[in-house]
Amino acid sequence: MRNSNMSRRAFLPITLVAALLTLAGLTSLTACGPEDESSDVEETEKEPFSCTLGVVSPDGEFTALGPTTKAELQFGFQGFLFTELYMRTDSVPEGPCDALMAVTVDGDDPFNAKQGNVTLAPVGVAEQGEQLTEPILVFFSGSDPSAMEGRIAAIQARLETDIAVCTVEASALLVDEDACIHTGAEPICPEDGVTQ
Amino acid sequence: MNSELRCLGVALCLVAMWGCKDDAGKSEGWKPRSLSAAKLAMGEEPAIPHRDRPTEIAVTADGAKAYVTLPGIVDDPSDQLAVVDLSSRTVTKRIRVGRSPTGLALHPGGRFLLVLNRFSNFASVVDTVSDTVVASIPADFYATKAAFTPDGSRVFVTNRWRDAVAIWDVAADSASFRITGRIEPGTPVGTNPRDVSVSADGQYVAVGALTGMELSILDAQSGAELHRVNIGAPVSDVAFAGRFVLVATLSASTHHEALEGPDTNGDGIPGDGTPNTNFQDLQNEIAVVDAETGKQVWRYTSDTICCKDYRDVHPDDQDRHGDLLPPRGAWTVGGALPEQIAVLSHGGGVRAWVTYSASNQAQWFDVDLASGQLIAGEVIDTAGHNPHGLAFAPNAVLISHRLSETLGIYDLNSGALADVVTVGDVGAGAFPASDIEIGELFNFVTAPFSVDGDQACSQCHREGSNINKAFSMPLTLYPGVSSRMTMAYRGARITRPWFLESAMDENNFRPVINEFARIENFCCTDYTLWPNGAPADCETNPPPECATELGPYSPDGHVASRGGESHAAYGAARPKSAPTRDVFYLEAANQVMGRNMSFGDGVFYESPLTGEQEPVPLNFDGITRALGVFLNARPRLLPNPNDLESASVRRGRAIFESAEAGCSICHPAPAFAVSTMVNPFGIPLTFGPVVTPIRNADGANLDLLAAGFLDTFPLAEQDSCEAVCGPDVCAANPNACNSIRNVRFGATTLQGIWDRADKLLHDGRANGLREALCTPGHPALLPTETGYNELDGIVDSHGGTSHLSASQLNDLIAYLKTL
Repeated sequence: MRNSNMSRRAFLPITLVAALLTLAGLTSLTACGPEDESSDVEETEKEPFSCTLGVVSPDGEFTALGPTTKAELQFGFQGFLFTELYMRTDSVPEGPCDALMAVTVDGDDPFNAKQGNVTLAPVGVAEQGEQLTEPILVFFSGSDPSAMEGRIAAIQARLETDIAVCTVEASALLVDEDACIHTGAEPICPEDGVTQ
Repeated sequence: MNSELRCLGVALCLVAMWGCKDDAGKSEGWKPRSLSAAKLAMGEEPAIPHRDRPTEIAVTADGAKAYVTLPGIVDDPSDQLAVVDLSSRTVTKRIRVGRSPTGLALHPGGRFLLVLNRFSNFASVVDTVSDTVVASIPADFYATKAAFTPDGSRVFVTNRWRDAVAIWDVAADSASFRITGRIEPGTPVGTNPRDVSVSADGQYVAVGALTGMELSILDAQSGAELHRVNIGAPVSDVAFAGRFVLVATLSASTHHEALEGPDTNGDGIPGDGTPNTNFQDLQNEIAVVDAETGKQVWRYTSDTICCKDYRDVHPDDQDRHGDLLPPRGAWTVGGALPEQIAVLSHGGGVRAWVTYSASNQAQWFDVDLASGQLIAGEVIDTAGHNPHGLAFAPNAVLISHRLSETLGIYDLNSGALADVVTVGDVGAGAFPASDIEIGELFNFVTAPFSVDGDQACSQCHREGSNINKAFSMPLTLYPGVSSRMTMAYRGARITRPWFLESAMDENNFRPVINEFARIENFCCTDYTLWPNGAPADCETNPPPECATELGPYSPDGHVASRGGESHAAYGAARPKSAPTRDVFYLEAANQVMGRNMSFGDGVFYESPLTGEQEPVPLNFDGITRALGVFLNARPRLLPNPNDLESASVRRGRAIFESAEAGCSICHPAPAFAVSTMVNPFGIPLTFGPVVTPIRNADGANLDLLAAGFLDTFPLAEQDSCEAVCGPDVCAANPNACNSIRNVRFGATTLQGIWDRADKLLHDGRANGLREALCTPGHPALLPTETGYNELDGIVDSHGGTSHLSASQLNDLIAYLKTL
């Protein structure tokens, strides 16, 4: 028989795990649900659902992509060049979500961007069930902002679970309006910081 | 793992007689047994063509024949030797030995060849006259390599599992080969000993520990360890030249500021006393150690010091302790990852040959036997990928091309290629024949894709295990002092997302490859050269700045500048021009593998709308994805040699699975990790630290990640300053709350931990499982050990172990070593 102190110590790991679950903040998100292991996904056609490609402004506003919609090029850690895209849907797919994008910058060769286990969270009018993905990062292998700026990126995207899928096409104008570079611990910005 | 010397004595010793039946002379109860590759914890078995991976070479005394081990790969081991007739340069026979042969030692008598089979519990004896196996000698699993004394009376056998060198006494003549005595497990040495060499006078034995990064000098007579030399980097090979031991290794730096950060070399002083601060500047080195004194007398390093991103330390850079670099005259190592060394008498002197496995090169050095000094000779490009083993034949040096499945025959004087003999399995086509193999090639022959030509994945991510040191990495907020363990590439597919921070997966781990070729090194993407952007047509019409700015694009070669100060005077020119990294990678792919497009069988462009797939260019993105495909498909864990069913193991398993210990919550079977592929309790993939973070004098948490890294790689998670202290405090001082912010980690897999370096927890502070599991003051701890199982004073944060007795904790460890 354990004494009470021993018992208290012994259950700390479980307590810790419970705390971790809470700390992870998962309850604040309506993430893609647990995988339905009983579904025979190989044999069935995936259920289509609708989605929209877009960008999100610093104040959280979602804008659907279009030829004049600006997608900001970010010059990130260690010089990686990428842009952040989002997908909005009015339904909550079940199972882990994977995103696949194909990006064609003007006449260049198309390339893929993949992101697994994409999390969605409620957005807009909650009653309408709108969900917004976390940012889906599209990395540009070339890494030269000047070669990308001002060009149109044609994007095909697919967001899918084991049982549902949405596909969408859109385009965006690549811009580099943030003069800062984020290659290290702190952004490097001209003069007094972020420029317009 | 190490244990006491145990001499069984002649009476109990096992005798292997030439001409006897296979089971003759074996100890009572012993049965030949071989280990099978560990099953994948989950997922489908990828269909991968077989390869033989020719590695070690031995040549008969008359130079007529060469024997080449064909160990295969861990996933799919082979069990054969190839016999090569050196006059006709053809494979005349294959000899079946044990599973995954890794070591060859020709008895000085000339007739018998001892073959070590790492996955079998026996060594094989081959008669070189009949080319048949004439005996199987009982041995521990993971007996890896061997070396005879010059008189042939004794052989020293390294053992990866035991971390020891077994000593077998031998009686052999022209007709028989017998083991007459044995000391096993033998003399304890550093972790994962592999290579062994005996001095020509028979006085000394040198043993290199690949994972432990140490050199042991043994007395050949007594078997006792005379010196343990901290090489500070993985020891790939050891070879005697006179009384000097030539050690193939890397730079010793752990890239902390010299006297700051964790005391990773255990000298009681913070830091490790090494000069560099980033992992990108790994150098390739050859150390020379005097066996008499155990002192390192020379250290030779890479011949390139570059680049535009200043990754290599400038010798005049006092801030980064450039003054601690070897002197300029010692920058003579001309390739990446010194792998094997072989020494021969040559032209009245002594010459050493070295293979560079990560750059497809080899080089010779002349050795001054009075001083141990090395005089660099020419560097040659090998005719196959991943050059490994070395041996000499009359007027020829033989080099195994491990990935190409071939044996290269080169002129001993000039290094010119004489012939290439296919000794392995090319049934799937010439290597690489698939996208998986493209990734494998990059993993092992990375250097041509690195801007300074001397870096490689395999320098740190060694066979099977991590290495016994923590590194500072630029992804951290305090890169000079914080540290992370190097992860083994084997088993990577089990724990996804990858890395302790779970920041990346196979679709997104570019930062690792980025370090080989940062964009600042290429003219058109050099944001320091073009703060407002390069000209739009820079790639097709390079402006004059590209020709004058020193860097990889420069026609002057592979040199760099900093603040107007040129590195040209220090770095050997290594011309390599490309306006962008993508162009550089495409050119390198063409140069190395003769193609710049993927095969499309693993790395492809996929239309999200139609699902159609097609090959992609092997630019930076394509190569990154190929490496991801390889890591997911190929590298299984080494088979476990431990007793899986002992009473101690059963008790340990019960503890592991108990609610009191809680181990199986974060390390659940079958992967013994929480990952995207397995998560039975549905806990988060990442969570805060379970042991107290390492903090600096100001209390700041040294584990924190750089903001830029977090922005670029959203899978990485960390408490923001604002979240823990509020916006007002953080606006005034962004670092105000760095003592209470935490980065989130993933649970690494426990599978294969029996073979892992004894540096555990994310920063490698725990020296072994006891330190990782024990609470402070736990009775299981040895006097020199520290228990880290506490979080800011609350014990049992890393599993409930405080209630366990020392015996129970050892049971738990026994179980963990069966995973």
